[in-house]
Amino acid sequence: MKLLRQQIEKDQSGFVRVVPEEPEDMWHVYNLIQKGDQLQASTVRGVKSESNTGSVTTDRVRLKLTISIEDVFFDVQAGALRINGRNIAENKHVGIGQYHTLDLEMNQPFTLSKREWDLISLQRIKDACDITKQADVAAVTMQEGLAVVCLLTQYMTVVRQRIEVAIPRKRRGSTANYEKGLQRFYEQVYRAIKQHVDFSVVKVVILGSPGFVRDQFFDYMMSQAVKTEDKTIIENKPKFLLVHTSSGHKGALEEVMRDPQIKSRLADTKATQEVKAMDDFYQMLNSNPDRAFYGFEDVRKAADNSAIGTLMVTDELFRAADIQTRRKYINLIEDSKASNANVLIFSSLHVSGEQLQQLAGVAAILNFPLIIDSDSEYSSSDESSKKEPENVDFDF
Amino acid sequence: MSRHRAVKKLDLEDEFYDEDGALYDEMQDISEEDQERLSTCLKAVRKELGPNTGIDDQEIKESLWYYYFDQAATIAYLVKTHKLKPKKSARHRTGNPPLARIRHSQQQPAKTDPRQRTPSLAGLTSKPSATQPGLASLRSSGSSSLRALTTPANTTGSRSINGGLSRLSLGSLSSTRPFGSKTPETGSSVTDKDPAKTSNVVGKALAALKTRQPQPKISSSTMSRLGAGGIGSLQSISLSQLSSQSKVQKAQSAGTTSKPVLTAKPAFLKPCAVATVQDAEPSSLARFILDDDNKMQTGSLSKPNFAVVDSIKKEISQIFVDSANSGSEQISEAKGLVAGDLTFIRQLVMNVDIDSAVSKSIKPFAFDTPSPDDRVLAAQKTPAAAPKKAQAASVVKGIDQLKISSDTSRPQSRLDSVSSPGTGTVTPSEDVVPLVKSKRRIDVVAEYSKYQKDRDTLNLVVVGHVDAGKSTLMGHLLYALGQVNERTMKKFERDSEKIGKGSFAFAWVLDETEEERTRGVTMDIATSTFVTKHRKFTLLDAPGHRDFVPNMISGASRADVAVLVVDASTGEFESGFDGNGQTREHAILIRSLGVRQLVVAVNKLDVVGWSQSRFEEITERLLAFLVGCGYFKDDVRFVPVSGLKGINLVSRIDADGLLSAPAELASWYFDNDSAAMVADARNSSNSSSSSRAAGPCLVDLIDAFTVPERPVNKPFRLAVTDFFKGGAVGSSNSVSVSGRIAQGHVQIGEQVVLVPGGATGVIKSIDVDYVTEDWAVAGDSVVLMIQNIDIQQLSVGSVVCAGPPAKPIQAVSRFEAQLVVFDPQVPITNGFPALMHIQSLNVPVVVHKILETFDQRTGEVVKKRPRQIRKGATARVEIRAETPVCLELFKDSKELGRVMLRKSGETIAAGIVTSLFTK
Repeated sequence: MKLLRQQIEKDQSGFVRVVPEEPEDMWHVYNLIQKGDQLQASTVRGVKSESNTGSVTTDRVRLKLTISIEDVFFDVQAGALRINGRNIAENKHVGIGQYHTLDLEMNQPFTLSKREWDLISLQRIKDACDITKQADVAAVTMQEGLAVVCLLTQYMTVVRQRIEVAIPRKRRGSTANYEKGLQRFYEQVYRAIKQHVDFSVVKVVILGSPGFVRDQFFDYMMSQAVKTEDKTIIENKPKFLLVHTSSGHKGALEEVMRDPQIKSRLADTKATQEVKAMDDFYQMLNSNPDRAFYGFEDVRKAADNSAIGTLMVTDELFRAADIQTRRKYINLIEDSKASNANVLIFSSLHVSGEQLQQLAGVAAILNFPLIIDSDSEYSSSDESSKKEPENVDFDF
Repeated sequence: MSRHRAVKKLDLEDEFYDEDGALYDEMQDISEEDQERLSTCLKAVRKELGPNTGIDDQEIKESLWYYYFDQAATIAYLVKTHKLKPKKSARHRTGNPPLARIRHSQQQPAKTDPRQRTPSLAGLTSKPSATQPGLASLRSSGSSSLRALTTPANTTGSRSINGGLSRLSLGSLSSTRPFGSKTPETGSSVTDKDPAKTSNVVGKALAALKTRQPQPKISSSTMSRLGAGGIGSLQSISLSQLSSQSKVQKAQSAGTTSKPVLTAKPAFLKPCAVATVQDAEPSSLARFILDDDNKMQTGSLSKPNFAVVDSIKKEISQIFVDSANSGSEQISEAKGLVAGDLTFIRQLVMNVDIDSAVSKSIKPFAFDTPSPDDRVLAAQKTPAAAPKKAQAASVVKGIDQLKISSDTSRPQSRLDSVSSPGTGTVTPSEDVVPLVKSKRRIDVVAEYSKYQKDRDTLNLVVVGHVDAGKSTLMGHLLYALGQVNERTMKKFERDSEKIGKGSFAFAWVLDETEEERTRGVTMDIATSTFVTKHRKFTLLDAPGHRDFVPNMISGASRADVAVLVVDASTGEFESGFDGNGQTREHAILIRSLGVRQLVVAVNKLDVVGWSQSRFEEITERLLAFLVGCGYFKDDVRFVPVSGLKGINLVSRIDADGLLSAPAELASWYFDNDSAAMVADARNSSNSSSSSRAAGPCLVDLIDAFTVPERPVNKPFRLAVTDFFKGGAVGSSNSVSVSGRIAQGHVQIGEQVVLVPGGATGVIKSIDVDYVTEDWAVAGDSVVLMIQNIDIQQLSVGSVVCAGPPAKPIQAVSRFEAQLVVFDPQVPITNGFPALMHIQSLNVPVVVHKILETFDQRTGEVVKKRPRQIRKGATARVEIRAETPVCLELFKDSKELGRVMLRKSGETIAAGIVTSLFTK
C-alpha cells in the first residue's frame, strides 16, 4: 500500500489517502474501515436521465463519491472489498443521502476519513505501507486424499483450493484402485499448484504432510514437470520445502510454522511470530497456569496489575466492533504498552489467529504469577457467548 | 422383386431362430446312446402331450436334452411355454438353455461356502425317521393326521407334514438337478451340497411365477422351469396326501379323474418320499397328466369331478365321524378341510386341459402358496430351507383357508363357490405380494442365533510400535496357517531379496502397495482372514508409524480384540515404550476404542537369545502399564515369539516335526495360566520339569479370546471405511462400501439410507470377509454393494443405516462429550483446536467450551467452567466440528459414540458422546 497523504488533527480526526497495491492491502483496508467512517473514491454509477420527450436513458458515469460507511463486505478469496453507504457530498448525479456501493479497486487511490484515528488504525497503516515485511509463501498441506493449497502473506492465510479425492484403501489382493486413486489425487494437487502459485512472487512453496505423501508427491510433480517440459516448476524446484505435519488439514500450517527449517526461511514473518507466541502461551498454561491468562476479564485484571509480559489480541476484535468495545480493547493495549508489554495483534486470517479467536480473542503471558479470585470459574463466559455468532463460521 | 419387398417378405421369426440356433446349438455333440434315449423319450412325451400339440419333435428333443431326459419336466416346460407364448417358444427356448446351463455349472463350484446352511437340509434328508412319520401317519391313519392338519396348534403334526413336504419337494428337486449339471451321478448325490442352491433357485422361480410374469426373464426362465417341476411334484404330493387321507379304493372311482391318481398313490408316493429320482422316471406330475389325458377322452370334465369330489368328501367325513372323541368343531374343521382339499382336486382337475392344463394347474397352485403366516416364518430358520418351507407353508396356508371356509359350516355351498374356476385363483393372487416379501425376508436374528457358532468371527487388530514386526509376524502367521500359498511366498522372498529387503518377505503378505514394500513400512490397514481351532478371525494389520495413527484408529475401531507386538531387542522395546512411543499410544488407543482382551506378543526374542529375564522384564513393565490403562490383568496374556523365524506362532515349541525349538526358550517357557506365573516356572524348572508341556503359542492364545455380545437387535449401522465403484459383481449403477457393521443386521434386498445426505439404496450383494453371503450381522467386516447410490454422495465417515421405518443416525456439528485427557503437551483450553477421529473419519474440531471437570470415580464436579483441563483429568466439554459428523450417543452405540482427539500427531484425549445438539 502506498500512503499518498496523511492529515490527522490533534483531536485524532483526519484522513489518509492511500493506494492499495496488492490483495493483502484490501485486507488491511477491511481492518481499517469502520462503520461511520467517510470514504471518497472513484466509482462508476448508472445514472438515469430523462430527456424532454420523456424517454429515460441510463448512462454509466464515472464519478468521485464520498460516502458515509454503513456496511463492509470482504471476500478473502477474491480479495474484493465492497463498501456500502450513503452519499454525503453534493454531486451532479447523485443526491445526498442516496445509497451507493463502492467497489475498491487495486491501484485506485481513495481517501478515508475517521473521526478518530486510534493507535491500532495508525499502526495498521504503518504496517501496510512497509514493503520490507512482505514474504509471500505458498503452502500445501496434504494427506492421502486431502490437500489444502494456501497462500500465506504477512497478514493473510488464504485457502486457494481444497482438494478432496476419494482414494480407495488397499484391499486384499488388489492395490490397483488405491494406486489409481493416488495418481488422480497427485494430479489434482499438481494442477492446483500450477494454477494458484505465482512463482514470480512466491518465494517458498511448502509441502507438508504426514508420512511419505509429500515425498511421493514431490517426485510425482518433478517427473510430471520433466515429462511435460514445465519450465516454471523445474526452474523453481529449489523453492519447494518438504515439511512434516501430522495431518493434511489447514490447522497443520501451525506445525509448519514451528518447523525450524521454515522459521529460518521465513525469518521474522508475522505468522511465525504469532505461532511462537501461541506456543509460549500454551507452554506457560501447562507449566504455570497462573502466568497465562485468557479472556478479556482475566487479562484486564492482569493489565491492572501491570503483570502482562506479552499481550495477544486478534484484529477481529477491532473490526466491526462498535466504538465502545473498540475503545475497551485499545485501552487494554495502551495500558499494557505502558507497562512495557509486548503487544501482538494477530491476524485472524492466520491459523494461530483463528486459534486465539477461539480463546476469546485475548490472551496474555504474565511476567509474574497472579492469583485471581474468580480463577475457579472461567470468568469471561459472557464474553465467549457474545462472540458466538462470529465464531460460528470459523474455518480452519 | 425389389430388395424392399424381399426384406418385407423375410420371416423374422425364421431369421432369428436360425441365428439363435446356430449360436446355441447344443444338440450337436450328443452321443449315439443319448440319441437313442432321446427318441424313446420323445415318443413318451408325444404320447403324454397328445397328438395335436403343434410342438415339433426338434423342440421336444431339445427340451429333453436340456432337462436330460426328464420327461415330466420337459412336458411341464413345453406345456407352459406353449401356453404362455406359443409362437415365440422356439426362440425363447433355444436362447435359454445354454445360458441356463452355464449358470448351473457356475453355481456348482460355488458350494464350498464354509458357512453354508445345508446341514439342515442334510438333516432333513438323512433323518427319514423325522419326516417319514408325518407321511406315514398320513397314509395309515388319515383321520388323525387330518386332525393334525386342521388344528394349527398341534404343531408337531403340521411340522411333520411340512417336513415331509419339504423333503418331497427336495426329492423332486434332486430329480431336476441332474439336467442342469449333465452328470447324473453328482446330481443324484445332490443332498450333500446342492440342495441349498437348487432350492433357492426353485424358490426364486416360484416367486417369478407368482408375480405372474407373462414371459419370465431370460435368467429366471430356467428357474421357472425347475420351479414347474417342483410345483408339479408338490401337487402330486398333495394329491397323494389326499388319496391317503380319503383311502378311496381303486374300484370305487373307476373311470373318473381321481381314480388314476388315487391308484397311483402307493406307487408314486414312495419314490417321491424316498427321493430316489436318479433315473429319468416320469415324475408323478407326468403321470397325473397322463391320467388326465386318459380321462379327457372319456368325456366331460366337471360332472365326474363333482361326483368324485362328493364321494371323497363323504369318505372323509365318514372318517371323521368314525374317529371317536372328535368334537363338533373339529368335525366342521375337518369338513372345511375336505372342502378345501376338494378345491385342490377341483382346481387340478378342472384346469387340466390338453395344452394348458399343467401351466394352469401350476399357477393356481402356486398362488395358493402365499403364506405371510408368522408361525411359518418363524419356522423359516434357514434361508436354504426357506423356499421349501414356503411350499410347505403353502399347505399350511391352504389349511388355514380351509378353516376359514369351514366357519361357514356349509361345505356344500363352499364347494359350489369353489367350483367356479374364478374363485380358486382370485383369492390367492391377492396373497402374492406378502409371500414374495416374506420369502425374501430372512429373519437374520434367528439365523444368527442359530449359526452363531459358525459365524463367530472376531476382529483382531495388530498394533505396536513401528518396526516391532507386526506385519512380518502376521504375515508369517497367515503363511503358517496356509492362507498364503507356497508360490506366492517364494515370489515375495525373491522380490524382497531383490530390493535388499529380504527380511520383509513375510510382511509383503500384508503390505501390498508398492510404496509400503519399497519403504518397508505399513501405511494403511491391511485386512485378511484366518481360522483357528475355535474361531474365525478378521485380521487388521495396523501401521505402527506415528504418522499413520489415523489409519491405525480406523482399524482399531473395527476391532474386538488385539495383539500388541513389542520388539524385545535391546533398546527397541524402550524406544517404543518410553516417551512418545507407539506401544504406549496404541495400547491406550485400543483400550479407549473398546478393546479389552489383549495378547502381547514379545517379538524378536530370538535376537536376545530367548532370554527369560528380558521377557520377564518386558512383561512386568508392560503389565503394570496396561493395568494402569484400564486392562484387566487376566485379559492380558504374554507370549514370546519370533515373527521372522516363525517360532511359537501356530504350534507349541514342543510339538513334533517342527522347526527345532530353541533350547533356550524350551528351557523356561511352560504352560502356565498366566504370564505372572512364569516366575514360578523358572523356579520349578530348576527342579527339573522337562516333562511339562511347553507354553501356549500365539494362536493358542488368540484362539482363547471370547466373543463379545453383538448388538444384533439394534437398527443397522455401518460406518463407511472405504468405498469404490462397482465391486465383485460389477455394475454401473452400484457402489461398494466396506466397513464393519457396528450394530444390527443387513440382508440382500434391504433398503438402506446413507447419512449424511439421506440417499437411499438397495443392498445388492454382501461380502463377509471376502465370501458372498445373504446376510450379515453386527461385528462382521463386510463389503456391501449398494444400488441406486451415487458414489459422489459417499465419503469416508458416512454411515449406512437401516431404511425406514428405523430412524437413521444423526449428523451433527455440535455435541457434548466426556473427555479423558491423556498426556498432552499443552493443556486443553476453551477453543482448543484438534483433530477428531471417529471410526475412519478424521475431522477438525474445536473444544468450544469446557463445561466442567469431574472426578472419574465419584462423578463429582471438581470445577465448573475451568480455564483448562489438566493431564489425566476428565471433563465434560462441548465440541464443534467443522463439518457435520455422524454420531450416536455412547449409551446407544459404543462404536459410533466414541471419539478420539488428536493434535499435532499426538493423541490428547478420548471421549464418549453424551448429547447431540441439533439445530
